Amino acid sequence: MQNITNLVQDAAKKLLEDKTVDLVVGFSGGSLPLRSTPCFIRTPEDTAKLVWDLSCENNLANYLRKKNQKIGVVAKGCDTRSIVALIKENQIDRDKVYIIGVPCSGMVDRNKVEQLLEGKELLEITRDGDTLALKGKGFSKTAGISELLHNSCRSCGHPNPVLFDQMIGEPVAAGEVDTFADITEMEAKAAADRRAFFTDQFSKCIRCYACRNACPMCYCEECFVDCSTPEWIGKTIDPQDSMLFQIGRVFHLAGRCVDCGACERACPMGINLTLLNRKLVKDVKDLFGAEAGLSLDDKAVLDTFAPDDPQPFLVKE
Amino acid sequence: MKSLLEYAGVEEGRVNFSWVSAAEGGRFAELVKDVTEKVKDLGPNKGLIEKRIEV
Repeated sequence: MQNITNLVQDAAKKLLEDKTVDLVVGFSGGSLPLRSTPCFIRTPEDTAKLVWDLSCENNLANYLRKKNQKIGVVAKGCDTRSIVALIKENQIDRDKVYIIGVPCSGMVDRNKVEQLLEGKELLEITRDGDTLALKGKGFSKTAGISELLHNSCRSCGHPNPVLFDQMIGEPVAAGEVDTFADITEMEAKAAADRRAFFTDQFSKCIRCYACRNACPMCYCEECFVDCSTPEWIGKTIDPQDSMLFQIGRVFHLAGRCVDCGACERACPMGINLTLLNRKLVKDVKDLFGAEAGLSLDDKAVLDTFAPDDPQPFLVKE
Repeated sequence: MKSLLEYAGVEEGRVNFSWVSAAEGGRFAELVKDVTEKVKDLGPNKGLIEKRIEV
């Protein structure tokens, strides 16, 4: 990790010195462990702030849309997939981004760490191979990294950047092909159970729209939830309104969601958004055999039409 | 859409889609009749979720 941090810093420094880019978007360390935060570097001297660790979890593709400067970005597998998807939607000019690709072996979920430590404050973290030593005031614990990863990272099938101008470090072994076991399990439950589950989840929603803002693919200038004339959906925190909001959000991401999990990580209430998002990711894969953001050449799946497209939704006559 | 709504807990059969051309009047009438009966059998819509907000 330290090694990658140095390589990222060197790459960013060189880009800024050569004036290849005006700005580098990356991560800087937080004041506490596992709190790395997006940062914007404009001078070669400032590149020392850049880090690469196990909490570089934000999707930086979010900061690249409609910019006039030339931007360098430090990007993981999921970030590059979002960038590819945004280039295809004409939101990012390929000539104006310089992608510093970093293969990613998954990011650590702070909530899982918190649960493991039973709420005690984490003050120091050191990595030893596949285990992490977590230290705080008067305690220390070790845990396997794989137990603490985000769910979306565990099921990630594309940890290596799909598009890059420069790759840092060695590609990591791609995980197993995503089987969508979680979604299949959910689908197998009775409708009433699913309804009960989602009711419970969405009654937590406070409609802060952090999920929408964290999502690189949610970029409409005027979002359907902000509209008041006409008011497309209710704006209260009634679970029914929240549910409709989430269904609308997920539906707008059909065939575009790269399953980076940024929405769920942004959620302050810990709502399981993955189970709703991934349902559509799975449907698109099952019906059309497509995954978003893997290649610049193919057309977006819902932009294409074939007379033999499957139509399992039609009413049976 | 149908798949997503049913996944989220809407009863199976409440959401129905079909293609009908403007020239297919008879087929349209048939379909509407079928769907109406189907939905009547399902009874009133309980909404996506049953619980209302607790104050």
